[in-house]
Amino acid sequence: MAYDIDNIRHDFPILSRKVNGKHLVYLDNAATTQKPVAVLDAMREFYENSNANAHRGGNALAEEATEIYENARKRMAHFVGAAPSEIVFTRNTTEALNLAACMTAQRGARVLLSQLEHHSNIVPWQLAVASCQQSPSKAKATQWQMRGAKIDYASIRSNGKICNQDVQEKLLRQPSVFSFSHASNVLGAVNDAAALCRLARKAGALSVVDGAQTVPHMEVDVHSMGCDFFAFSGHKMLGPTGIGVLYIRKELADALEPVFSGGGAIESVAFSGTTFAGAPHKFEPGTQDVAGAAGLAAAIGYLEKIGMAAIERHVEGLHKACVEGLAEVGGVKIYGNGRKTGIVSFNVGKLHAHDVGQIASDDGVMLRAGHHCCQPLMKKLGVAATVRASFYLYNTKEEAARLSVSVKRAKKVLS
Amino acid sequence: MSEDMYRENILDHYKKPHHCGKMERASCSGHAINPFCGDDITFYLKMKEGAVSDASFEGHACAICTAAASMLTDEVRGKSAAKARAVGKERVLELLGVSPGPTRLKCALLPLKAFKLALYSHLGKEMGEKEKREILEASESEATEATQTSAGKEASK
Repeated sequence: MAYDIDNIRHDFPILSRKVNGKHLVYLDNAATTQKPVAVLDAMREFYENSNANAHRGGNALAEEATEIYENARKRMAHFVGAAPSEIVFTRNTTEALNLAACMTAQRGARVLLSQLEHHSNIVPWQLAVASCQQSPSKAKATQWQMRGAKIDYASIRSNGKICNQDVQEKLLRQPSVFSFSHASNVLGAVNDAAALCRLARKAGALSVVDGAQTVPHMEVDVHSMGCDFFAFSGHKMLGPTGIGVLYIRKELADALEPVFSGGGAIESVAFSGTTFAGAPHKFEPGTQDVAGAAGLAAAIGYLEKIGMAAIERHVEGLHKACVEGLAEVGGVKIYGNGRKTGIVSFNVGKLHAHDVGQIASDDGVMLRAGHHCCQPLMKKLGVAATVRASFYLYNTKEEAARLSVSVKRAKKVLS
Repeated sequence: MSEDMYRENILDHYKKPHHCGKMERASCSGHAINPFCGDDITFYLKMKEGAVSDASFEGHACAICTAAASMLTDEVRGKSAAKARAVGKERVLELLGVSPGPTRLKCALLPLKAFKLALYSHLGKEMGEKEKREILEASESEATEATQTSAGKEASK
């Protein structure tokens, strides 16, 4: 089936707006994606017709809301190859990773991460295993330091992937958990998560995978990957902000104690104690984001209609066009290889990333410039910041060309 | 903020910054970084008879930040300590001639922070609350970037 880009773009109202009098070119998809009408309609439809509290009361509306919410869970489970009871809705990837850290790592525990990681897959682990101290100086009272963390960081190879051999060596120190990103939000290269999870299991460590950058871009099957936890966000895959997922392998989901609890997460409560509900409900206390779930289900429907394989091919084509275009500009250094996930991180000569990002923005081209919440990785790359273009299913080669034109202009203005 | 951030005066100062470089035998210096983008500015002052007899800066930063630092050296040279101390956020934005959005405001005000840190270390005084708010509100993200900040400060010592 032909990839009908015109029709696809038509489904995203924001793509027809102008910025500074120029047609919007949205290339910050690794941060968040735009939303198709189908997602917006599903949320509006829920609030207009079915709004009630899911899993509360037996009235007809509450039943409808419950059905919509649980249907979203089923669709999500099917989408990533899990069972519905293994899908826990969270606010976002960060919250999912925080939950995973709280449930698997206690103070003093040893943890293995990688040098690729986003701050959201570093800080929750530091918080879980280290002791946290407020700065003794009054002037720096807002500064906290985390000390005594036994955290190892697996090194990365020049292609931007985690070095499996180093993982193997660092697993000899017997960490209780190995948490790593399926693909880096800066370099984009996709790690062989199945192989890394196998290594972890062999060494007796639980595996946690940050899939925020891969689920929107390729078929993911958590069961065949063999991970224990898998975290990702709805808003990077056309869904609304405010809803994400933590997949927890069944045996663990049944065995683990929840971090938060309250209404809806219990079977029975007495003053003397509580019996929790079964998974996944025991991990979802309080009123849930039913409208968000409805939107997310519509997003999955949209992605499935186009097909993940077709999306992957389209984005790879854009990545190639972008890299070729930037090569023609000259003096552009590209970091890593984000072919599959549509990420191109680069710097232009000695120009500051912020200046390049700003000039592109003036031209209507939305990029990300900065450390991308990856300060340790930036340090490793030897740069303070990079410019990042990230493509998705609705972008075009013409838009990749607009980026090159802007970069050329930045070079001209600033040197 | 988009209109013409890279106007001629800013580009002139960026391409040929005034008083750029480390100062030998400075009376005092101040160092400030913006962890958000890695802008890094050290401001040097030479104080003589209660006035700023010389000012310079070094570091690596974006065009807005570099231009602001360059303009600030011009602005404070020759001023009495009291007058130099009175140079604030409004004056820096006036010199730049642009009104940056919240993100780039941090870039624009970073040199002011480095300058004030230098001046106050010389005067042996604490920054006033209002002044602190004005300058620090623009770099409030530092509070959550404690590791980077302290690492940066160690490096500057």
